[in-house]
Amino acid sequence: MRPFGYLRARTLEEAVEAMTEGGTLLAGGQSLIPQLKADQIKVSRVVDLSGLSGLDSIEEDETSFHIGAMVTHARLADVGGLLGQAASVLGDIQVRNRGTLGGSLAHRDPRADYYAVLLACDARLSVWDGDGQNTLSVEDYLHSPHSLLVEKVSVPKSDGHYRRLADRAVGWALAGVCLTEGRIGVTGVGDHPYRARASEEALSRGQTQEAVDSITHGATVRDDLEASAPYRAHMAGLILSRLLDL
Amino acid sequence: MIGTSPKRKEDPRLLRGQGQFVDDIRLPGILHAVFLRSPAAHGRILNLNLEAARQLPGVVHILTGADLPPYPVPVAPAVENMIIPHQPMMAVSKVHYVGERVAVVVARTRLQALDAIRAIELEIEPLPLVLEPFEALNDEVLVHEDLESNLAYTWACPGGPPPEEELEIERVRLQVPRVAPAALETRAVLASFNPGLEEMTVWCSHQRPHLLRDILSRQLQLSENRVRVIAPDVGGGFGSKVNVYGEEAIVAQLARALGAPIKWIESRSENFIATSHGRGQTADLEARFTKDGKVRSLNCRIVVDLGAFHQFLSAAIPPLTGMMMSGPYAIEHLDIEVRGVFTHKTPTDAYRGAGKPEATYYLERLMDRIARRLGIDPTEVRRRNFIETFPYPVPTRLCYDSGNYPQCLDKALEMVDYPHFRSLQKHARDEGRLLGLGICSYVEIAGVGPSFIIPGGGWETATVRVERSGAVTVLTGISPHGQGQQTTFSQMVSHRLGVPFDQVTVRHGDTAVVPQGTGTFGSRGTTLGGTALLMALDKLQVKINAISEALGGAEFSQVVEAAFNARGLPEGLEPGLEATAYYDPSNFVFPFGTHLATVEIDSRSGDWRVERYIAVDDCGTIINPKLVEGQVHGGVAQGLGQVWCEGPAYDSDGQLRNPNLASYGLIRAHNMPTIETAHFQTPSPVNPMGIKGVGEAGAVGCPPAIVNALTDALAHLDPPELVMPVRPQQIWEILNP
Repeated sequence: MRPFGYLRARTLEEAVEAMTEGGTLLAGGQSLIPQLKADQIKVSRVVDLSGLSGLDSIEEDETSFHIGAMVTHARLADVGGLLGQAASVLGDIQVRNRGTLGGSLAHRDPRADYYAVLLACDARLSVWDGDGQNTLSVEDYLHSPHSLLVEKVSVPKSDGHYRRLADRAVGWALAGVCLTEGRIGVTGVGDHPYRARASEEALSRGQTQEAVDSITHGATVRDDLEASAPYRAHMAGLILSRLLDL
Repeated sequence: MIGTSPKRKEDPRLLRGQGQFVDDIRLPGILHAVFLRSPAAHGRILNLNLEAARQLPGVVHILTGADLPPYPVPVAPAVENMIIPHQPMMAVSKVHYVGERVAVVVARTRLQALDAIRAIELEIEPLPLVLEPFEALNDEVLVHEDLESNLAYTWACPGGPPPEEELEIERVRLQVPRVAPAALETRAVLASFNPGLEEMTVWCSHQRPHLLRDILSRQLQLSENRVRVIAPDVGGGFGSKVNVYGEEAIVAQLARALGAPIKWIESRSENFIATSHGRGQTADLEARFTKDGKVRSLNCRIVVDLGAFHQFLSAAIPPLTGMMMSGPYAIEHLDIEVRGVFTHKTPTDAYRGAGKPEATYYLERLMDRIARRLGIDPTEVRRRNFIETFPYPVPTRLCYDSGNYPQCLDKALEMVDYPHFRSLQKHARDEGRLLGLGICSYVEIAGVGPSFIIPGGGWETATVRVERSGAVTVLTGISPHGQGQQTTFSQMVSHRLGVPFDQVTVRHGDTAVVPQGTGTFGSRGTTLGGTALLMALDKLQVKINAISEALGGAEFSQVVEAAFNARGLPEGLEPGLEATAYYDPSNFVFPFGTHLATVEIDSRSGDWRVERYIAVDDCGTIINPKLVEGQVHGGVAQGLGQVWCEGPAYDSDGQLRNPNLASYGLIRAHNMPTIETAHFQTPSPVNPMGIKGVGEAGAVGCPPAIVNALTDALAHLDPPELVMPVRPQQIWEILNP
């Protein structure tokens, strides 16, 4: 590994400041550390978030869960619920024990399981940049060009299910769909996770088959070694139809 | 002790992180080497400018192909009349595959060397490519411009005209695509030259340290006794570390030239392009058989994707497919041709099974196709063709030592409850659920091998030495790296001499400690190394008996004392208690078995999983059942990996599409089914213990069982041949034509 600077942030403000100065945030280290070891990225300073208090809390009020960005996948899996469904299938045991919600979201990977759930639950992300705190929708966060520090995620309590087909090579979602009352989040299928609005509208009209058929409407469907675009699209529809119990 | 499973002696150290792999070895003043590898699959080097790289901090030396002496990477002519293209140690004017060595940087740190590699200006004029072996056979694009053809060799076992009786014919083309061996530890070399003694020491992650010593000795022009090769802990090889590549000699030469120890650790991404791949075959098969399923003749035309160059012993692998082409079946008429063809890809070589998984895949798919054609149960077709009497001379000039093929098949069918499964399957299909069952009855060739067949000799050595305390040291010429012979050989010594298991130390993998040996590959460790040890123990026993007798029936401890005090020894007997044996087998050994898998396919997604996996193996006498079990599990995992998701995929530019573990699928623990095992122990008459070897059996037996099961589950659709790896999409496309 190349030498790099290291800051164990004591406050959120300190972490944000270091980030705006070009620092790279370290949460559970399940992506950053392998990338550093493989010399795939160069960092000037690693800003370790593990010393920040409050970022590893899970709070609950009448309508929502409020989950700190440093909560591990394994803890989320234990909590259960929709997010727990995603947390329990992603990565492997080692990754789930060390990796965090915030760390996963930070990469904005188009195949990350959480996004399907967060989109379907209409979650809000409390994020920080040099200008201070802000609350963003998942879509705004996904499309934000800026470096942001995710502090916590508020997930409205929703009934629903998350299901996916994992690719065999690594275990990413080849297609992952979360269905709640009225919302559909899709991951692994497009060039970014998305809400399947055409399908949502079809469902609101009671047209379930149309909902299934239009699940990739407007999306640029991924095509790679693990799955062709037509297969991915079909899988997304199949998962939705199974969630609808067609 | 024989036939019991004491815990592996190797494990506590490795589990505590106290293992010592090449990268763990630190020497004062060490420098680090990193190779620049060709980014292009075929091209002419127009510009290789080192100036900017040379200026970077920490850079000590940069070498290119032109700086090296012109002798080539060594290749043994394992097939008669084979064409051997000149392969320089590093590319000189042309590159022939992505990953070919182009230059090497030596720097104070590995990262400085990496930075210098990135600063080298390399300009390559692209030349036309040929990636597919059948296309390469047209010779429109030549992999090596100085050769007339891409055909490297033809190995044949001609069978004359087929039988004249009227027979059914089944023809099919089958593929066994490339797989990356992907050992947990990548390749690694550390070289240190002592100028005063003029001695070279090389630590290398390798399966054959003595072969490497002998080759380095020639390359460095130092006699063998001035070259010491040490294979410390080796994190897996699977055949990819049997060979001698080129990095070994380059790093050693640099260490001598620069007067400093030099370490090269292959990166994971390098491992996918610069370490040999396995398999890579396509076969056109034609079987002729009677209406009751008795196979009369088999014609087999195999084309092997060699990649751009031979490696030292790689040409010996594909003929093994040809030699084993009749498998466990009494097929009297065989006509086999194996053609090795150059392509602009990473060279292929041995990988767990080495030629046998391919032969087994061809035959076992064929058996199922014949069964289907005739409407006979696939188990019945196999039964009607099994060899029944042993020794059995095979038309390919091999001679099977011993076997009992129906016993393994019967046991597997009993374990799965075959009639029950078939009725379950029928009911499931009525409900739209797709269940399948696949069988693979295999025989493989192990215990490599008799020197009259193996180029350079295939013998093995062992020394057993009793120390003054009564502790026993074993020196073995094999080079175990996970196989567990520290444990099994300790069991053998303890069993024979009555010394406690814990007082036996087994040493291997250091040519200064073990003077001669052949190494660990080809399921030979226990068959050959163990037999050599047995022979050494026999010799020692004669001496022990003589001393004991002279002392009036003394016990072992008194014999040891007498041997070292040299008092009361019979006239003419030397002091000490030590014996060495060389074992050269009279034949290979032929382990066999039946693997059986049941699968369920999700009819809407094509996703599939293995429901039950049954492995019934017969590897002759078993010394340690737990270790045999482990070998079966490991082999099955790699076999299933090839069906599940593994395999390098090239794009049309000759670039790997999955060149690292973020995209190359290796099978994971949670993908593995429970493996139900059973064993029979039909002894081999070839060696006194009756051992056969089991390292490769799982990798041989598994892929056909799974592919047969998947094909069985789709039988109602009359599916085309599946091609490994069988991702869910492939099944889905059959379900949704």
